Amino acid sequence: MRLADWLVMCGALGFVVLYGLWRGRGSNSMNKYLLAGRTMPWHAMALSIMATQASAVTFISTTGQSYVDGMRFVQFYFGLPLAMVVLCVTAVPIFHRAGVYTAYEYLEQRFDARTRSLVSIIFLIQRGLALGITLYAPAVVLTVILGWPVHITTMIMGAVAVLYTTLGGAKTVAWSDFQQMLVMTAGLAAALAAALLLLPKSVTLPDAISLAGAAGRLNAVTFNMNWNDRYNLWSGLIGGMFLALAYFGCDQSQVQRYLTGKSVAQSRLSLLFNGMAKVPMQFFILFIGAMVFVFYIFEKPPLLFQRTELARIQAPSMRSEYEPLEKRFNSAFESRRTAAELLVSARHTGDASLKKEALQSFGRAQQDLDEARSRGVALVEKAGGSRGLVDTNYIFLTFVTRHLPAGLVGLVLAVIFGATMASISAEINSLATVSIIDIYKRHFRDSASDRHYLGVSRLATIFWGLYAVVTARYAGTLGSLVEAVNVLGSFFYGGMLGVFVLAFYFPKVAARGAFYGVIAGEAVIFMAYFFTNIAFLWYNVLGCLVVVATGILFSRWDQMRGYGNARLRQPM
Amino acid sequence: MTGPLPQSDAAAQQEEPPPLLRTWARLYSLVILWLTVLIILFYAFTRRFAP
Repeated sequence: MRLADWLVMCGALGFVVLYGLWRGRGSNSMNKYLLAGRTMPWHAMALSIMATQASAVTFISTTGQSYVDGMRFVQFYFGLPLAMVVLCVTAVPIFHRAGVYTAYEYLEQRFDARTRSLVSIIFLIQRGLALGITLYAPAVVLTVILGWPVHITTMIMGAVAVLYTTLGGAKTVAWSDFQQMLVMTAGLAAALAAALLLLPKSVTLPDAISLAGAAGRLNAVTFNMNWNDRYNLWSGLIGGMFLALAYFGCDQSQVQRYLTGKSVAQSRLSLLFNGMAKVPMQFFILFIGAMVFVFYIFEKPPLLFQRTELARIQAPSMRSEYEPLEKRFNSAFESRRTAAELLVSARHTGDASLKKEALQSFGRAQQDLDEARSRGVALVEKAGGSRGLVDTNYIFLTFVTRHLPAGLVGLVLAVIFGATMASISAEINSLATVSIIDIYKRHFRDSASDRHYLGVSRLATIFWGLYAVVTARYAGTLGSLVEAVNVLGSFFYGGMLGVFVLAFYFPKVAARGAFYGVIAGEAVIFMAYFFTNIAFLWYNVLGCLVVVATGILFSRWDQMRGYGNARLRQPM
Repeated sequence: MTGPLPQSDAAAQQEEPPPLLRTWARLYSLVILWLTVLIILFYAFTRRFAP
């Protein structure tokens, strides 16, 4: 890191945090601390919602995902706009009308305290585990740049995030997110421009796009219907819609963002803006990853992007196996570069036969490179390193730190850290809210002063920050972080979504049906994980359907026995 | 149980129209239309640059 990078990074982050704290001053009651006094305009909520989703994982891992697997990950977001429309019609007016602090508080109004507690605990487990991953990603960044151990960097990042969230509350979170989203947009545009400007002069933007396409990195839409395929149009539209419905409708870290709205209309507008902007934004981030891939066609990439593991196989004891592998990798890289230059030349001259020949050579060289990288991963394992190493998370970072000019590195790092602060602050804020409102206030102390609840809310914020630091230590074993965080969410979101679907759309379903429905849904999701190869996006659909079916059957059974009618409460 | 927060007139809030296109149904249609256009464009992009 050069001085200019430190200045840009600290300046951008300092401004965002101070601006948020200034806007959030006066959060001296529980309503103001947890829900910003319900005063937020739609544009601030919209960018806050987007910033909460866009953690450091989004930038580090999504770009790497595109580098190794192409842009098909964008399909994961296709269901999101549909989910936003459904939520605007149902959840937003219902939550506003109920006047709740948390989504789970509504479940007690509709069902009973037991169902509310069960779903609150599921949320605390799921979001608490995901928090560790969110914190781990920027710690990886600091480790790569400064060479500090991961447990030290997670502690530093955790302390900064907790301090910031504890002091400011929901209003600071929302206004800081707003500014961070603007910094993120600027940083990403700069990263893309840099990736293109660093290409050889003879390679134009259409050439770069053509090369990424030749390597299969521009596969944004795939129609093949395969239950085991993680990303295709159908899993994205259906599974992605269920995941987004659950994330935005049942996950307090998101629900709390739009509960801060002045009115139903303001909350709706914030979600609809998110629905329109999210897919192009993800396409743009994945496109940056594809352009980084093109950059590394002309600039030799390391065999493995994770430096510590690369150093392990470069050790003298592994030299006899590493050297032939490196030779093969270098040779494949040179062949690919030559083929790429031929391909560019054929594009410029319009020589179809040369283009065909160059495409074939390019494809073969790419296969050789992929094979050499796979052998490198196997060698790491043999040398006692990570099993099945996935270095996706290090690709974009390597590009940024090694090739971007002074100042720009600082800006991109500000984007990564700012994104983390946006996500972590919202997540900690929501975890503290559920801990206090749905657990502490509901079950332990229901009639203390507002000042007391404000104090324990701050303590809960600190607790969840510490918890994040501890769980972050295990996140490094999870492979691609962006996938890990979504797989983890899919274990729980189907069950949570199912109970809200019952609450909103099935007025005849009573509390017992909802409670046992959630348990059945979660059981089926875990069975699907352990005993089938079904792709994780489908867990959301499966879990939700099982909850709904079980809830209906249970309630029918109870009604036949004359048990459930007395407990029936209507949706508000 | 946690009591509901003080709330403004919920029925009036729900009727508040969006700032553009006059009805919420039209705004929802616009979002779905936008998604359809994006998928078509991305598909054309995929086809155009497929290896």
